[in-house]
Amino acid sequence: MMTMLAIITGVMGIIIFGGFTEANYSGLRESVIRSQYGHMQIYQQGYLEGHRKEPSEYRLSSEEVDKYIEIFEEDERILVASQRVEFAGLLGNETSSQAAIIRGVQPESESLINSALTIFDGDELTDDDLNGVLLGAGLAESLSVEVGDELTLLASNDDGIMNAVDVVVQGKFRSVSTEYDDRAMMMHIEKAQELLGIDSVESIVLLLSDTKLLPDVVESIEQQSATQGLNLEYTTWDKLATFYHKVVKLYDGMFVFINVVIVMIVLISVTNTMMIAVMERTGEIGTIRALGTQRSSVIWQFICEGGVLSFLSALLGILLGVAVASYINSIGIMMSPPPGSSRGFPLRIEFVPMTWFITVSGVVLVALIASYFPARNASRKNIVDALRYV
Amino acid sequence: MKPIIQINKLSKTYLLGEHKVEALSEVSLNIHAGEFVILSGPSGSGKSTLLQLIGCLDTPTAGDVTVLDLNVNKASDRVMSNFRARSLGFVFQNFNLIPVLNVYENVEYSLLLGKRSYQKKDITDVIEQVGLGKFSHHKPNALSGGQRQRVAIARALVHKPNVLIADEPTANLDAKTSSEVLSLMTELALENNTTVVMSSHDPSLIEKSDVRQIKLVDGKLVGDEPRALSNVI
Repeated sequence: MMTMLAIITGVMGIIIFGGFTEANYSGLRESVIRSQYGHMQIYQQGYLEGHRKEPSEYRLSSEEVDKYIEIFEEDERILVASQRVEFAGLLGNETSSQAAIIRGVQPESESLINSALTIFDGDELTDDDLNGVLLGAGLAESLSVEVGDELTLLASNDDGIMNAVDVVVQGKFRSVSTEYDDRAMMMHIEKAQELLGIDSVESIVLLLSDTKLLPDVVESIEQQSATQGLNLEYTTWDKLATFYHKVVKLYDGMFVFINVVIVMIVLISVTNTMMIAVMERTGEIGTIRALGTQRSSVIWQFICEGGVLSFLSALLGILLGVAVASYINSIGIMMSPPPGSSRGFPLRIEFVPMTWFITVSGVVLVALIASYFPARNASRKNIVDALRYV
Repeated sequence: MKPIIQINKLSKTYLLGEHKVEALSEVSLNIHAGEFVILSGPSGSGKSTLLQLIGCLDTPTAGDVTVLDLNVNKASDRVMSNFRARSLGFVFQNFNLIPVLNVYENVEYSLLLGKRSYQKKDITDVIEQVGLGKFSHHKPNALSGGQRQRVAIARALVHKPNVLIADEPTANLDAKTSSEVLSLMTELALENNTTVVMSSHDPSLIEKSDVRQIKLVDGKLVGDEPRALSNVI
């Protein structure tokens, strides 16, 4: 009974924590995709290696942009293809100034990519808001500005000449990363191009209808690039999202630790139970051996018992784990923001059948190993001595 | 006729701590097919040890035991297990039924080990013969001592063994039940032409029985009186 309880509790722990981490992974993944990176970013060939030294050399021309957008619009898996320009600038007013990372965007298509951004003050940008800007929460706070305030944005163009434009704070936002919010500003791409004196764009960001489609879309873009001789290169969200990978690494470490603890619990409990069973059933072992049961059959019998005990316990653990997880999902508990993040999130536990399958298989395997040594001891008992225990 | 059991200068010594205890000392005897033999003697005389060696449950310290054509000294555990399952039947003092199995399953267990083909009727017939037809689905803990020993006899004989080993089968039974159980065992053994080697230290039983009696004292054979098997009933 205690062994069953230990296995049930352990399996519940794996199901709930495994589902929790999976929910976090998928939640964070979608937040990162839908607040910063999109699923893919398309650049001019050589951009990733050379754009820091010569940003002007690695922009997509308006002709290239038109051609690529036409290709992407034909693909039903791609929901949005939005153009961006990114640069550094100085943002300020009469009283203070701050360095900022500025993203020039197509407001209405970008709003789909940025669906995980929260505008907590003011309004979203629209295609008509040429002078409006959105400030990250930290940047707005450091400049002490409110919605409707005017700011001046200074940036150097490709020739190194400083230009300035006046902008109006239209809203403030929070993303999943406080670091990003401390420095980020978004503005209309046309205003950004005016400031920089260019008509090219830095990247085209693609948002897909489903993250699972990414490998297929990557493959078809590669094929089209090769057959049509497109001068492009790309990166995917997972190569850009270092924060996501840090969180995954943290949770994976915890998950491994919990699994190791549970494996130890199962190993010790099952071994203990089997040792007691062998001790209590010494007389029975003596009897069946006397009647002609082979040693291997005695081992097999105890291993089967350990296997059945652990299998049933693991199944029960999964049923109870799913029930507890469903209850937790239904009551909507809010979690505090994770490290480096600015927002809390609802506690959600995903149902991952593959985790269930691996857990049951793992628990049964550990139980079989744990049963083997007591079973071997049982089979080696002296028959005459064992018969005296009846 | 070649004896079914040949015992030649058989000795068995146990180690109890640092002390050696000689349970059997140079015992020699032969038992022929169909014989009914009672091993008698006081407690500690070596009866059970001799039965264990004949039953291939233990190996001797010195001497030879050959049962049918199997030399117990030289056989591996696997061979001895197979031999016990096919050729021997056991009835123990404490019945030794498997508590989680019912009467039918306890009896069937012997047939499963013997790996011979069998029919349900083979099991129900022997259960009927021991008078437990109505108790087929009862677990051992729902039966009386006499009934349990009847199940043990059915289990021991259902696969028609060559030799039946019975270690004090009536020791835990009252006089009337002892007599019934012994009669049943003898009747079934006769029917199947099974050789019976039984131990007992019950003087009344030994006196009443007119069968071959082998007397042991302190591990030594001190008497061997051949009688006719039919007289035991």
